[in-house]
Amino acid sequence: MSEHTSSLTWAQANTTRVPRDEELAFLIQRCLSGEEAAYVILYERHASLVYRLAYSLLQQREDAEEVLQDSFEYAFRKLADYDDQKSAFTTWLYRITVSRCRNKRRRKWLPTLPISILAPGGVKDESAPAPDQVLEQSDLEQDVWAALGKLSPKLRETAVLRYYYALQYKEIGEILGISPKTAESRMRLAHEKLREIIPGEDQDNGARRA
Amino acid sequence: MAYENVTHTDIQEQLPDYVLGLLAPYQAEEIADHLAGCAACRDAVLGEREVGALVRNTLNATTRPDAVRLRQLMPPAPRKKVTSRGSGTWTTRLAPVLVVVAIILGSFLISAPDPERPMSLFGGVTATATSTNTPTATIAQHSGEADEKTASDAQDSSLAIPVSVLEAPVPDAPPAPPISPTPIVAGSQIAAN
Repeated sequence: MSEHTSSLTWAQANTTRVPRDEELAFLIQRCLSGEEAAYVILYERHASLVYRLAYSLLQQREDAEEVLQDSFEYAFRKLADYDDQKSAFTTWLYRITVSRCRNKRRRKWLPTLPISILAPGGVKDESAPAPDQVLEQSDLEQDVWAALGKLSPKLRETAVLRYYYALQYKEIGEILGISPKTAESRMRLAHEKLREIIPGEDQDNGARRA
Repeated sequence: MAYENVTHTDIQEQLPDYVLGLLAPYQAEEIADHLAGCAACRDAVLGEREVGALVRNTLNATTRPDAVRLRQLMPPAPRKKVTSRGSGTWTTRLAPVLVVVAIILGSFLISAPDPERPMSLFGGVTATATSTNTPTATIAQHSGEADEKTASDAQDSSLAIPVSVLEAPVPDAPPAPPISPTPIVAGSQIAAN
C-alpha cells in the first residue's frame, strides 16, 4: 500500500509546493487586505494544478484556459468565504474548478451531426491534444488520453482526482458533491473500464515505460 | 486466518480494490500477506497499478501548462478589499451620516443670536464663534449699525472672529453639504445658514 501511495503522490512533488496552512492563512489575509502581490502568489502556487484538472476533465486546451480564469476569478471574489476549518484550500479550489467544468460542458451540449459530411477533406478532432504536444506524446499516451475521453464525465472526474491527484475518497466526495462510498464505486467502475480500453499487457512492454 | 477459506480466485478478484485502496485495513493486510507468497497475484497487482501509472504519465505529459501563458491567464485581483461577512457594523455605516447631522445641528446652535450683541454678516452669513488669542474684530451689522471696537477690546470669546476671516472675501452661502460616505472633519468649515 505504501508503494502505491508513494507512487500516487508524485504528482504533487512535481508541482509547486503547496504552502503550509499557516503560510496559506497569512497569504489569504494579505489578499483580503488588498495586497495585489499576494493574489499573484496565490495564483502562481495553484494555477498549474487547476489548469491540469480542467484540461484533464474537458480534454480541450481552450476550454481549460477559460475554466482556469473563471475559477480564479470566482475564488478571488469569494476568498473571504473560504473556511479553512471546513476543507483544505485545494479542496475548495478543485470544487470550484469541477463546477466550472460541468458548466462548460453543459453550455457546449448541442445536438451533433457528423461534421465529416460537411468537410470531406477531414476535420480536426477538438479533443485531441495540440499539435505541439502530439509530437511529444507517445502512441500509448494518445491511446490513454483517448480512453479517458471515452469515460463518462462522472467517471473521468473520479479517475483523475484519484489517479493523478492521489486524493482520498472522502476528499474526492467533497469535491464532487458525492458520498465517499459513491466515489469508491465510481473509481472501481472507472478503473475497470480503463483496464478494458487501454492496450493490455500483450503489447510491447518497452513502449509502455514512460 | 480468515483468508484460508478464501480461494485464490477470490483474492484475485479483490486485487483491483486493493490497488485502489478500497479494502478495509484488515483485508488489505491479508492480501499483502498473500502477495508475499504468490507471484501470480503480484504480477496481477502490477498490471492493475499499470493502469493508474499510465493515466498519471499521460496526464502529466498532455496537460503540462506553459508558464508564460499561465501568467497571462491570471484574472485581475479584486479592486476593493474583500471583507468577511458581517465585518461592517451599523455604527461604521452610520458614522458619516451622524457627522453631517452634527454639522447641521452645530450650525443652528452657532447661528443663535446673542441677545446682548446681535450680529449678522452680509447676506445673513454668520461666523463660528471661537475663543482665540489672535487679534480679532467685530463685524458691522448689515443694518448699518456699526459696532466697532478696537482689536485689543475684542477679547470677548462670544464674538471673537479671526481677522483673517474678516479680510477674506465673504463667500456666497455655500450649498448644503452633501451626505458623503467620506468622514468630514468637524470644524473645518464655516457653517452657514
